Amino acid sequence: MTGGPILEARGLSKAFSSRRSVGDVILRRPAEELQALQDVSFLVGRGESLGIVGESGCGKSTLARCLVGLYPPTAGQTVYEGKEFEQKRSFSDRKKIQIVFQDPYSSLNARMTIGQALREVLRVHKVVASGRVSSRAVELLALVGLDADIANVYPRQLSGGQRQRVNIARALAVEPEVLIADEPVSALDVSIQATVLNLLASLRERLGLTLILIAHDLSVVRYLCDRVAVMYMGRIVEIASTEELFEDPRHPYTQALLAAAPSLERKSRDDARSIGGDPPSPFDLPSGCPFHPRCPVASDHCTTVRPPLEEGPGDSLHQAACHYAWAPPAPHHTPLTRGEENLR
Amino acid sequence: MSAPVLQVRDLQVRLSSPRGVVQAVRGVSFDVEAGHTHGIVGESGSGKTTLLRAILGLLPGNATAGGAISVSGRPVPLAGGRSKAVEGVSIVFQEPMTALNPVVKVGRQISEAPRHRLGLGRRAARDRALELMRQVGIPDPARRFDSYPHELSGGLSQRVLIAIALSAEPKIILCDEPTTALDVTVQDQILKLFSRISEETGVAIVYVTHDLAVVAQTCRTVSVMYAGQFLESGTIEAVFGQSRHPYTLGLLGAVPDVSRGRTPLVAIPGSPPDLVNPGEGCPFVPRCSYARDECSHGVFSLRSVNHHQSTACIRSDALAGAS
Amino acid sequence: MTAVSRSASPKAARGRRSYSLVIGAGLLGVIVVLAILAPWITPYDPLAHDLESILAPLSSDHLLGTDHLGRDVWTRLLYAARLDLLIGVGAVITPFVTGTLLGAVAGYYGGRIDLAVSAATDMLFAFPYYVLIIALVFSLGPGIPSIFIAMAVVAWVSYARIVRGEVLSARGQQYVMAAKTLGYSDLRIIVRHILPNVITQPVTYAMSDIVVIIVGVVTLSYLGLGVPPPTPDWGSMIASGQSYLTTQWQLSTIPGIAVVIVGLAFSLIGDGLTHRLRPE
Repeated sequence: MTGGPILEARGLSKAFSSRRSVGDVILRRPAEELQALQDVSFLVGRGESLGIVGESGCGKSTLARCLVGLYPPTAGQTVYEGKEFEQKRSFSDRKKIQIVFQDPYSSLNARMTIGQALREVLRVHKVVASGRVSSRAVELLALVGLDADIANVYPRQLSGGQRQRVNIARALAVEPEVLIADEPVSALDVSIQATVLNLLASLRERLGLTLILIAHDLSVVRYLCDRVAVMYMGRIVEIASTEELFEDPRHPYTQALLAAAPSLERKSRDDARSIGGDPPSPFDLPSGCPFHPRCPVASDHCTTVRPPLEEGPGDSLHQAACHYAWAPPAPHHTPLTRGEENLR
Repeated sequence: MSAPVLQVRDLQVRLSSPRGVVQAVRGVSFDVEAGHTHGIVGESGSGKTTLLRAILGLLPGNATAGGAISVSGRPVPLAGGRSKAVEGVSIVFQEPMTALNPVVKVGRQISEAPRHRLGLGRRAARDRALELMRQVGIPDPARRFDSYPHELSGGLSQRVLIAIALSAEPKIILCDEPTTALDVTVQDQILKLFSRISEETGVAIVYVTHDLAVVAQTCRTVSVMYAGQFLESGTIEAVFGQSRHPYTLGLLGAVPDVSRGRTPLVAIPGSPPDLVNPGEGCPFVPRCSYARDECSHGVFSLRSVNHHQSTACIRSDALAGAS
Repeated sequence: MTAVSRSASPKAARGRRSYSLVIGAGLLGVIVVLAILAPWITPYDPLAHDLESILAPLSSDHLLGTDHLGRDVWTRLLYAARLDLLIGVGAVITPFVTGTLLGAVAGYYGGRIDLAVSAATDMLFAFPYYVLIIALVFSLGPGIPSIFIAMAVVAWVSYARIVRGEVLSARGQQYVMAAKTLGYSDLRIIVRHILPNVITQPVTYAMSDIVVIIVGVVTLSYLGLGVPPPTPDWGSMIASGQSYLTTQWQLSTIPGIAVVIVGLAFSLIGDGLTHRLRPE
């Protein structure tokens, strides 16, 4: 961690319940609950960049939305510089954490020019004196490497990369200290991705931003982040410095993710670590460790007892939620038997 | 070397649009042999989807095409119309959920081609479908036979699509970004499935994607497509290891990779050319740091630089040590 | 990187579409101009009886002949256009505004407000539209104010439904989430961000609704519930000409054609606007 902690997630949980129809009410069927986020805790240091990776449905976007205050968490708090945010975040608190969304096409209002969108934020938050609004908007565009004449066009006239820069500029207009980027490049063409990733890296350096990067793509996280948290089924299963996590992953799921990620430089694959099956339904989570149905090292113990997120010996910054993360299975360990088709 | 199953010769596709004629594919030639997997890498707008549609014989009504495509020696009609050649080609799409008919049980969708195209009886077609489902790794095929598409996960739906693609006993399977919508661990399973299928059945696979790493993992040979042309072709090792084209080099330097740490990424400046009036010369010139005056004139097509690869760059010698 | 790529293809599609907008607006424009200029371009009083030239045929004196009281049909047609267009447009404004606001609020906040608005729309939708209007006008007593009240009570539901659905889907869009994280007030988000993006649907619906209302007023007048005679109105003109259909076909047919032309004009405008207003 670079500076002291700036942001802390303290036991964040978020459940969504399905809408009950009239029939459900009459038959007294309870609403189905989807546990999108369960007891997620971590610290982010000032100026640090934390990556959060996981597959679709693992809760990473829900986490991002809880942190910026879009969703009220069902339990837990977001703590900013040692102080809890209130449930309904105040106007000035909202500025502190900003977010850039995945889809550059739908995250700008199609009816406003880029300049209007930027000036609106500056006016609403009275970031600068009213006479300086237009020139500040131009400065913001310059900050993200766009020309001033972009201010006069509508979003549809811009490429995906340009729009994503505008989104970044707009988020930075309120001068936040923490910027969350939710899959910022996954909707962009490959040759454009680098420009946006490099922009985020340089902004972080120039402005001393704290960056939380949400991604499904391990390579993006490896490129930009100091520390990485891996999520599975609403929980953090492993968190460590980027180097540690990629060199010495302790959780079998992290190992599987790394083995499955396609790479230009690694032709032979680590088949022993790749996994079969699909992620389970979030409405019907497995007992014990949520990963046990797909885990190559799971034992009977794993089917009943959920492993807590624990520090490794001698390394307080590397934590993993696996019974066997730090102690390999005993010699008499009997792996779970399961249908052969799962392993194909 | 066996005779190629798929031969594409100097394919040109023009699409008329309100803005003018878009030259979507401009002189593409390549061969794919049985049992081989050939990758085509390109960004959006590079013409890769139009190329696939031409091979399927499904060019849209506003297209005019030149050149020739043949499957197992039979010509594919470029102006539309049915042909035996096209029956040897199947396709797997990016979005498995939208490519399946939501109101028909998956078993029936898989047994449709065996029944109606291969003329099997009802029982035989069902058996064939179950066998295909087993082959693509769908657990408990007898139960899944009666499932509807919405009851399946993304990974299973993609397996069903692959089973459908295999059901007509194709010579070639075209894959249009088949794993882009899938999770990493599921993508890995599907990529392995493709490898196994091409080994077991000898089907040729053309794998189209924007993801260089996926191609590196799945294919033996690759072509890099840009602005409707192939700029570089060859074995994976040659093209990705010792690229002889600045665009390939640019792409390789612009994408992060899990195995690399923080090697700085260098973005390719500029954006792809407008294919309405592409002009002559190499299409990459405006974005290329190696470009010289002579790059802006004449026609650029692939020529081999060694046994393993060919490039469209006339300055490829200058790049020899660059990667 | 900073070059602005103006995608020309949607523009071209728009160009083709705006033909219908131009034709529709042109058609409507001609009718409106004729209606406004009615006192100057018609030599007769629309209400004046002329018992000497009852049921006159088409002639240079009476372009479209006269009716059973000797009133000039061309004159009455134009005066009727003034009234019917005014009622059509006027009766749409209140339901458009209230429906759009209620729908936006219901869609944006959800919960109890949504439940109440949805229950009301569902209930009103369960009644047959025309029957409800006729019943309301009948109980309020015939006349133009009754038509406006009946429309205000009944017609907002369609707007509320359309806007609620659109807002509901817009609420999940990233531009709305972005606006929320920037700390914008709900009012600003609804008025400045959501409504400009969803207004196309109710606007195009209003175009067809105007037609429905004009036809409705014509129908009511035909039934004797709408514009009270002798005020000229297409519906009462059709009704009164009916008895002479075999000999004087133009008495009923020409106001009928007027209704069709106005309907066509608004439909073309609606069609053109759909494509003109679409953001991408």
